Amino acid sequence: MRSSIKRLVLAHLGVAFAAFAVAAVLGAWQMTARSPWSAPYATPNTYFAAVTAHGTIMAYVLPTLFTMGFGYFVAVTALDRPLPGLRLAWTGFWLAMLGVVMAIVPILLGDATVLYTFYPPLTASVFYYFGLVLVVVGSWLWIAVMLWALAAWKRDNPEKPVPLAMFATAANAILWLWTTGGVAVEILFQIVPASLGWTETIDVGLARTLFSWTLHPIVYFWLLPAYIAFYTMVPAAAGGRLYSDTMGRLSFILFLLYSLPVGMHHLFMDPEHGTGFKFVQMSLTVLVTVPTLLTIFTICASLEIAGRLRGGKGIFGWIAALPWQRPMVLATGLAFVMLGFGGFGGIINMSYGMNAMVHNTSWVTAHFHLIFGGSVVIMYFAIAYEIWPHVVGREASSLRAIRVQLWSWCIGMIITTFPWHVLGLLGSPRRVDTFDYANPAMAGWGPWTEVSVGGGLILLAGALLFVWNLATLYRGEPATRPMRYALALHLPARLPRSLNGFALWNYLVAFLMVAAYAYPIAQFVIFKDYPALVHRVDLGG
Amino acid sequence: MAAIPDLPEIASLERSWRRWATLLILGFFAIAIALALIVLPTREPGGGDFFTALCRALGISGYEAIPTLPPAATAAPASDVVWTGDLRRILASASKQRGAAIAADNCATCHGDDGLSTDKDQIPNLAAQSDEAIFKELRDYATGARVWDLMAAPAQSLNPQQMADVAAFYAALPPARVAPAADGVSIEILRLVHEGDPSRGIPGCDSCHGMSKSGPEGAPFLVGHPASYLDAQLQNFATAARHNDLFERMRTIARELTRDETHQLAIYYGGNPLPVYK
Repeated sequence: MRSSIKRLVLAHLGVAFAAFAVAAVLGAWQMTARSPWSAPYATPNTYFAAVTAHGTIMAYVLPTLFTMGFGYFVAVTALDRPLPGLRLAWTGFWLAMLGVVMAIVPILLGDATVLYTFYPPLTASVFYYFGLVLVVVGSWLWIAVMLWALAAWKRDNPEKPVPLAMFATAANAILWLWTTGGVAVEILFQIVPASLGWTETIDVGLARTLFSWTLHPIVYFWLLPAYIAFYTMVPAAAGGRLYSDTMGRLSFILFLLYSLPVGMHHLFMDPEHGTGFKFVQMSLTVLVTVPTLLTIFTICASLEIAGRLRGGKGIFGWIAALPWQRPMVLATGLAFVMLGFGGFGGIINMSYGMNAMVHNTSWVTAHFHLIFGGSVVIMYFAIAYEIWPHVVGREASSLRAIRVQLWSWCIGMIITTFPWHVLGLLGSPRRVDTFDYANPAMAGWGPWTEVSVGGGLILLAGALLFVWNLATLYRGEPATRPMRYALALHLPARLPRSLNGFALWNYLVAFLMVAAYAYPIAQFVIFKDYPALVHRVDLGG
Repeated sequence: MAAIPDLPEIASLERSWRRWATLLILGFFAIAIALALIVLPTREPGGGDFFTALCRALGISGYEAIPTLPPAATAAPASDVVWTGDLRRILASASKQRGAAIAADNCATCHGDDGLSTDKDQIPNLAAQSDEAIFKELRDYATGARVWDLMAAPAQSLNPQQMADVAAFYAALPPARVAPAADGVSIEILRLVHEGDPSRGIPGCDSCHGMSKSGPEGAPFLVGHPASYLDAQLQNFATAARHNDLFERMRTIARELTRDETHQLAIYYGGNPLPVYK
């Protein structure tokens, strides 16, 4: 890999992980602040500033920069050719950097206590939104580079199947382009005019609907790098083969199709929509479970191949025979455990009726921390450990600290989020900075919260150990081996165009988005509006 | 992109992928739409005809599932005060000086020169009251949303700007020197004030009427009002003799309160005089 690409990948991942460490410190502090113990500097303003910073970094900065850097790595290594548009890629990086600084400064000044999901009619300093817009624009340049690389490879390799890792990366790039549409319209046409004082009311119903368009697929944009690792890295790390290449392509296509027209399951309790389209989007949400289950089946089958090749016998003997000492395999096992629990919780969230039980409680916080913070971020760790030798040129001198780090992250996440699920069922609300634990109604929440703080401190240790590992462990042998992705059991020879490109699927996404969102959005233009007076938190009122 | 034509078997595979993917996706969507907009809404209790059910599922107002349509006579909103940007500008630009002149001619006889009641059974204090609350009540008296003979005429004589001026004048006066009578009521009443009673759907009184002013616009501060006036108003809400509360918030709460609770809450907010230090 050329050093220019190494610098590009290192820049993206370096910033992503440095920001991640800062946000992890904030997360542990927030948990202490809302527990029966006291935290230094805890006031409502500092708490909501911290939550905004934590969410902005963990939801926008970490996954976007990680996915961009990982995408460049995949494009070069999976396609085995130079990256086109290197200058465009660096432009995207520096735009995103400018955006990160522009977004973080108002948060630190206390002018953006609106949380990363915005919640109009609250509006923050306009620089917060401009900063996020720049991060998104930077990531659009990444999309351009990814599609350019794919098109160039296809031009030179007609009829050949696109390597699965690149196919999946392109799927994520296209998914991201669709995803950002809703929030871009919301920010540019509703929130920015309000935060500049140009409009004194904002239609919150429309704003929430547009944000819901983004809010669900963004989660799958965060998640797909983990799935890319499942399909293209894990079978190789375990010493086996990918059970089915087609299953991988189908899964990424299904994620593209069904993560988009489903965001209204975040609006089940909202009054601005009737039951009809909530039910439609719930039905489509159910289909998102299909690629997840396909993946779990395929990866388990791939691991079984590896386990049996390593001498594992019987129904479960292959599991013990797997090379669990390898970080990628260990991380996958831990990620599946968290994905299982988080996934079951998610099915409750997306069920129209059951959602009412857990709406706005810490159950929801527990769910997305377990799925994203747990199973996805642990795969970010594993990917970083896997590609770091190729980026810095040295192998890790020891794997032990890496295994300790992965275990601590999984254990910490479980200890943090299992009590949150219980607290949610007990009615403990989310987005609240403090509770009166002396009150008999809330006293019972105290012990659960204290346990979760313990988990949070383990998570903090795991986050810092991760950064420490990347900074100090890679001083072993010079890394000369090329990056190898998993080979499928049956190598695809010729594929129909629909499994080798995205034209058909883009048409179908367009149909589904129009069918699922045209009426819910158009109703605000035709016969409904919910104007609310803008509340500018940067002006203090 | 690829100049080479597909092999026949690949081309046929591609055709069936396109056909079946499109059919499956459209088919699933069609079933979901049919269930969501037609089948399930018409099967709901009181589902009504096809058109009604469809409109209800689309969230079109007037077709709600539980048609609690009141008789036309009582269907008017509880108050016509809407907190728009224009109204906020009127309140923000109100003049205390103009308000003082209007108050001296129209209000001071009952509400006192200093904004303190001259008849504690019937007349509230206005000193240091929220300007939004004073404006809303004046407007409601003028439109008949709140009914009391003594207030109808003076309120109707004022235009919105004058109402805002009067509100600004009283809002700026020093408050009555009292503190909530926390030691004069039982612990259950203090709990009602601070936390409410979730089992009866009663939110804490202070969540709207406390000094944080975190309730809806137009909710008045209560501390320092004459206790007998507060007691009477809670009774009026309970019997719906007073009905200018949006969404029936206060009528709903007051109906749930016992006579003793109403009385003690009035004592709590009526307050104890603060000591005067010289």
